[in-house]
Amino acid sequence: MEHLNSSLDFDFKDLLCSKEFWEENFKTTFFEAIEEYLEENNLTRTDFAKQIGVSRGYISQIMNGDSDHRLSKMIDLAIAMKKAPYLYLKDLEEVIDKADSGKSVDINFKEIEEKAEKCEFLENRTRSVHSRHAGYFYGSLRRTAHINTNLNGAFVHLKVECIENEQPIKYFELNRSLNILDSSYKLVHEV
Amino acid sequence: MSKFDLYINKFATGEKTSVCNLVIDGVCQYESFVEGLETIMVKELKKISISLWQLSENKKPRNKNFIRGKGLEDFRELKTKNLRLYYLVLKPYGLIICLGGQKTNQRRDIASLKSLKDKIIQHIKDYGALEFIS
Repeated sequence: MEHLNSSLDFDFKDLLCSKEFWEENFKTTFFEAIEEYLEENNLTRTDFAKQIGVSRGYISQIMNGDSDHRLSKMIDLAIAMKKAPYLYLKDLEEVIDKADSGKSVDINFKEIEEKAEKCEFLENRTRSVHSRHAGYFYGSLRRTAHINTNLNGAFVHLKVECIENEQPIKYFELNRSLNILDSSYKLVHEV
Repeated sequence: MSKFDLYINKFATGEKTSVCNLVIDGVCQYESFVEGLETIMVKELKKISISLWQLSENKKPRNKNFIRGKGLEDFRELKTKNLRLYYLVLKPYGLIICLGGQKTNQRRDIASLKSLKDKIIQHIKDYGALEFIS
């Protein structure tokens, strides 16, 4: 890891390669997590310090980011907040390439997890549709969804349109570019 | 009357909030701030730069403060031990970096912020909008 050089003329790439960037980012994430926890539980810093058996000054140090804290203490804090402290190490070159292409280098794990759960949910819905040979599919989906899925080994795009009040999903439109999957097409084209 | 323009700060690569440098009559306020620093300040400047990135990602930099004072409600500052960077929260532009300086001059710098905001608002009224330049 490169350290800061003395030049004031650095760019974002230099920042990404600096220890300070990742350290600050880590501290901010921790700061935000503690702040959120205190807010959600209506606790003061003093309450939280008492709860985990440290001084109020120690909590302030963490919130201000002034000190370099021991890993074991940080983990203690995370567990005290009932959080599992995952660690994810990503290839730095990939991060720099991402920044070069104008994309955000921030990773919001909560957002990614929510998206993954949504995808899984939609995938399960699709499977459920395919398993029915005829009849209706009652879904709780509330809007048009576009699902990329794999039908009998081929990649297809499904447009699922829903109507309200637990009524049957109106139709499934299979958007195919190849002359394949005739049986599947019939299954899902009009329910 | 001064001409005000904006351009995106080079550290604000996030996709959530726009963070721009204010350019007054062709002079970028952020660059003027950096040019006025000594190389000994590099560590503090790095911290400010990281905070700018964090702001663009909607994170909460720990060195961000509100500025107290009448007419300064829309201003914030990023501070380090010796440095101060002042920005204005202005819809729909996002965050506009208006001025940077050292702690020793903060009273004078803060005093100039309100009139600067008034001039920006007047410019928007006269010309319709602030222009982004590259």
